[in-house]
Amino acid sequence: MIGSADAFEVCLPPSRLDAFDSRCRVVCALIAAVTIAALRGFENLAAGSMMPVMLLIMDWRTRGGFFSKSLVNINKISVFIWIFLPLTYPGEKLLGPFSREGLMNALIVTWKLNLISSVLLQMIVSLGINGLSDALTRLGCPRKLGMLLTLTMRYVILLSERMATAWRSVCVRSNSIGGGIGAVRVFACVVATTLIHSADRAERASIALARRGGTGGFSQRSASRWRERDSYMCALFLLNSLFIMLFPILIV
Amino acid sequence: MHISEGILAPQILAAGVVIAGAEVAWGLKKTDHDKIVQVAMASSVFFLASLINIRLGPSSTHLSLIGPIGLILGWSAFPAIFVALLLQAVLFQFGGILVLGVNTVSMATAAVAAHLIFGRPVRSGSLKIAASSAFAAGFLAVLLGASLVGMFLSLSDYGMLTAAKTLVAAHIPLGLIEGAAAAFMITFLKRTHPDVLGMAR
Repeated sequence: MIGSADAFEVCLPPSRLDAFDSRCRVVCALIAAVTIAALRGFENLAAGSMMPVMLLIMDWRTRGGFFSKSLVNINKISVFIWIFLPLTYPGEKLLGPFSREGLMNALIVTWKLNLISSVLLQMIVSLGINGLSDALTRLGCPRKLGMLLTLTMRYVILLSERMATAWRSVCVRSNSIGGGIGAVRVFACVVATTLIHSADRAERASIALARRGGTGGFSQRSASRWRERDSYMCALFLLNSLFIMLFPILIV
Repeated sequence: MHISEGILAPQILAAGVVIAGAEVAWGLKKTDHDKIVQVAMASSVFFLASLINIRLGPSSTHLSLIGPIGLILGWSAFPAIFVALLLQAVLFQFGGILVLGVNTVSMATAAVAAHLIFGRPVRSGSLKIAASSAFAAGFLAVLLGASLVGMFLSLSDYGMLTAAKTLVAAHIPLGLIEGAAAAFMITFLKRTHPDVLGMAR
């Protein structure tokens, strides 16, 4: 899984959402996601599906591949949920050992999982690590945390090839490292060696960073600012949440 | 050992955010500004190591390395694990952003517990004591992490108690493997570069 630095970058085609401030996107995504997490009934979930589906459709032509790949990854956990919940939840048996209530719960959980993930993918994940770090810092998260996030991402990209090379060289030299405790031992030694190399490198990087007076970020990069349209977007998401909550009352 | 989106109620998610926030804030307070680069570097090594597939008999697994992270980073494991989980959620969609707090509490608490219980014997004990302490740290950190995940799952509204019990039971063999990896790693570091173990505070 490691080796190519590209695997660690979120590079997506531009979207209309890029016109909004990153803070606005994070706040709106959290409003929508928390609202969906609180839903229990199918009527509310149906109403709550509108916004995530619209967000996905908006950029499906350019980002469809990324969305479908990510949703497939996310739904792997659903298999576990669809086996465990219907098997273990008490209630009327519907399909062999599977209970009706368990199947209902599995459906609700999977539905919520997909809705929340769709919103977060389009609004937050597509920001990338740098955009997210910037948004978090400007939303009031400690500067140290933003710096740690940016630096960790930078070193993940730097060290991924080194670690992959070390692992590959071990595999080549030992023909096959096999399974069992021997493989664990080899793995532990590779990780420890990379840790030692990275500790030396970190010391030099730390001195260089201090000499430059930097904090690991790029302050000269022009930061986006909160505009009127960002406030409208937040208001729209709040109204949508209100609508989802009140939907069963409204249809009666 | 991640909880996914959609399973937990907002109250539990909120509790997770509050506890994780306090833990990360405490971890950042205990991390000197000039140590941030070291923490970031170690955090990225563990993040990458957790992506390597190790073949074990007919199956294969990814190790979480919670125990060694705690032993090496100490209190800084709180922000380091938070950042690693955020990267996993954004880059590979493992876990999620809304459940980040709960997942951080489960894993980071286990890592720091390993540091508090086994940190001293690992750093100042003999090689044998360090190896056995590291094994115990690796094993117990995984079990504690899985138990916390199980506890959060059992608090869900969807009757996940059996799933939670199964999850904890399934982590016992994994804990033994993690314990062995931790013991090998700490022995190697103690023999070659004991100063790396001194990073923990």
